[in-house]
Amino acid sequence: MVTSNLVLTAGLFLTCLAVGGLLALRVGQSVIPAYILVGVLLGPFAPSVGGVSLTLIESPEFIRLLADLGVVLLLFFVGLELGLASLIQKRTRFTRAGAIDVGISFPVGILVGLFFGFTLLEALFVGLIVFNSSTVIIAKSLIDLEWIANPESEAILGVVVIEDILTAAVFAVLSAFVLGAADITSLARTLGQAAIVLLVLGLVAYYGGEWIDRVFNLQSSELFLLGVLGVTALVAGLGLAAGISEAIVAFVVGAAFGQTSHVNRIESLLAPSRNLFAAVFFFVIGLQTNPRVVVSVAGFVLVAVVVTLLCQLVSGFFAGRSYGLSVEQASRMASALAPRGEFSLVIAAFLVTAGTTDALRETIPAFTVGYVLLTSIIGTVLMQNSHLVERVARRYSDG
Amino acid sequence: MKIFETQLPGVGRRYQVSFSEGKALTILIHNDGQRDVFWRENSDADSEELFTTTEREAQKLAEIFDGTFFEPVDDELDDALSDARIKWVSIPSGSPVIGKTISDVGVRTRTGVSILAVERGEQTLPNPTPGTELRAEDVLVVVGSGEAHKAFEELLAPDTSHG
Repeated sequence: MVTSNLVLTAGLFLTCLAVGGLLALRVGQSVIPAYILVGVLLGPFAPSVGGVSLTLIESPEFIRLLADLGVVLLLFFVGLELGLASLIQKRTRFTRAGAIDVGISFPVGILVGLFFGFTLLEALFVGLIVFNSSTVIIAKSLIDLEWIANPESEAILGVVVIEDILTAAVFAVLSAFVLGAADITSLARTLGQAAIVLLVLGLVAYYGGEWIDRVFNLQSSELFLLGVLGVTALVAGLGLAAGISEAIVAFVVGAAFGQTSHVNRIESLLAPSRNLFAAVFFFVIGLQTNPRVVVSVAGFVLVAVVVTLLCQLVSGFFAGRSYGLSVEQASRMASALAPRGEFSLVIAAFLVTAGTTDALRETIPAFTVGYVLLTSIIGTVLMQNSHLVERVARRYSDG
Repeated sequence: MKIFETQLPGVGRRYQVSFSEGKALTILIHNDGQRDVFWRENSDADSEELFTTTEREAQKLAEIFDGTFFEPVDDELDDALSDARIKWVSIPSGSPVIGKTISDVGVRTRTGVSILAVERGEQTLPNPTPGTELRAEDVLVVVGSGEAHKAFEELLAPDTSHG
């Protein structure tokens, strides 16, 4: 009998992730749902096969550090690759498309939350979780389907960026509400601290590009990697201590680096770390998911999937039309906006540790996992079959 | 020809080069440096992927387009020189080649050697042209196989057979 050790455990779960990811790619799916499922299969709630539990990792604690870095890097890259220049250049078209998409999807999500008996704060979190489309999954599918060279791809990714910015802003406020929820004075203090942190960061991001440029002008690639990762984690951690989700802070830090000349170097040096840590993050999400709790909210998940995806198809289609896309392209946009992913899971992970009610700590994260698994898979399938969406769209627009 | 640049968040940058009749070449530069190249036949059609290159391959292609492509040929030169030797040969007085140009003599076609340089007194003329005139007391830097050198020496030798 081999006694287990940390290296062995790491080797086992990383290998399982690689195999799971490979299978996902084989069937044309994103790796994200695969990583989550591998986590569920190897975690403390793993099923038993022939009387032997598959549980490899009893408690996710020991790999939580990697997963937290995964969250920070995921959102750091979202900020880094924001590409606001194109968005501002076509701001009238994007404002219109974004308003249609957000104006339908976000309120519907909140209503779904309220309908299932959540408080307003909880329902707002549900709204955020169900309305943010996944940049990671969408970008991969756009490349796989070769839509990336067509005009719909910039409309799709632009709207996703608008969703991300809005999600970040609302999440920043909501996270302060949760972290400072003890009483009204501590809430006011947390909100104040969060506002100051964001204001300072925003100013540095906007005006400090040149300064950051100079400070990080390091010859050694190794020190550059350590420096960028270190400063990002440091600022994100300070932000968390001040009462604002580390994910939001990382997002703003990423946007600040996006203003410098180091973008390409960060891409080539930090992207591998991001890929590794993000995979561990999705794995940990699976680890801490109790399938029983997911099953207990299955009705909620199914209703939310059906309602929000139908609304997303409608809002995505009209957002595309208002952007100036053809019926075919707008149908593609409608299906492309369906997959949910990393941002929803980041919010769920925040709630697991910071949630103040049972609903926030358990129900909503379990719901999120079920919801993301379904929408990421359905969304990818929808994109591969967008001609069906187009057929429906033509029938209704003709009739 | 118009070129549009678009930033694609989470993917990279896209350049669309439009030609007449709605034809368009699209180059997608991924954030990790990979390049995808697409071609669109007309404005109604979808673009189709042609090929994918790495950053380094893309640079080579760009040099070819730009007309600045230069491939060092060190290896091949070594091969060419493997059985060749370089010799310094002075033109003997009375040689029939004196006063003729390199091409008049037909140095390479008749003997197989190439003249790398001509040393004329204090002066060295590198890479002499076919029109370079050979003079008495020139020293020629010559490359070629042993056989070629022999043929060249015979060519330089003062013509004695008729003398």
